Amino acid sequence: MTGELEQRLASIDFSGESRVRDSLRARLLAPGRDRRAEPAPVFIPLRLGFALAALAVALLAPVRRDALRLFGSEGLSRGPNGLPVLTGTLPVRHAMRERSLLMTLPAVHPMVTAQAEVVRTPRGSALRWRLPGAVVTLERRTTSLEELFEKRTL
Amino acid sequence: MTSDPPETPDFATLYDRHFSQVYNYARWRLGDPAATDDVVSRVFERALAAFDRFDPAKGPVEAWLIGIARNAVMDHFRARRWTSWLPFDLFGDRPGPDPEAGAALAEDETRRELLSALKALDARERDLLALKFGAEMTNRAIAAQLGMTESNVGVIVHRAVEKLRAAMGEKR
Repeated sequence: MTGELEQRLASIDFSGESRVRDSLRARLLAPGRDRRAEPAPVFIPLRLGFALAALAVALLAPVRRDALRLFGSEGLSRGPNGLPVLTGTLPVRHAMRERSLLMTLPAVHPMVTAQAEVVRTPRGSALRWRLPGAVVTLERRTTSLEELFEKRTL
Repeated sequence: MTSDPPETPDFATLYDRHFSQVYNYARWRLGDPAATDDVVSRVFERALAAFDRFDPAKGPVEAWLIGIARNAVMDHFRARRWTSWLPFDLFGDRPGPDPEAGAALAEDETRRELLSALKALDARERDLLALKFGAEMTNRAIAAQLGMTESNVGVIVHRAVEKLRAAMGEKR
């Protein structure tokens, strides 16, 4: 039974279904073809890595330059690893905003520290940060499943 | 007394002699005809690029070519990790756009059953059966290729065929 199946399996030939057999042969054996056209697969990740590193270096310089233009050198200090660190709440130089690369990047915001105040709420307590142009509240209170999940009824 | 290594055929002869083996191996592994054509193209591209460096003293040309094919299949699966959420059926026995090829495939019950039943096997079993029946290699050649013992290959192939038989039987 198994031997019969093995014979059937061995007799199956899918190669007639190939749509590239002849065209691939013609392409590979075309006169003047450069045999070294395709890079060895091991070099492909290396190439990709180099490309990404080069892109990171290329992007880093204008971002750093823009950070200096936006916040001024007085707001930047050197961290332990030598990289610039933003300290305090820094006024953005609005005149530079339009031309800044930072401002053209979506969802890029300067990171600042701000002191929170503890406030009482009707159902618990909350931490509140008063930032220039916004008040952020982090509330702590007992909640119920009904508040978390919407009940859909017909 | 030493024997001379077999003469290396030119690339055109190699292509004509071994295309079916490489294609069938890849098809057993991948299932999908379009992906198989893609992988087989890469295999022969790489083989041509490395053909000048092939040393027949290190082993037969078939083993060299199937080694390239195994790597190409693994590369294909690695690249497909990003799309691994796609169901296997999408890559299964879907007939190609060529109506003649599609009709021929639909008529061939054994092929259709086989492609479907292969899903029951794990990657290792599928690789071994692809080498055995797709690439038409002997257990000894498979053992040499994979660094296994010949008896171990025989046992795994036997179990995989049994599993395949069960899967194909269930379909009926």
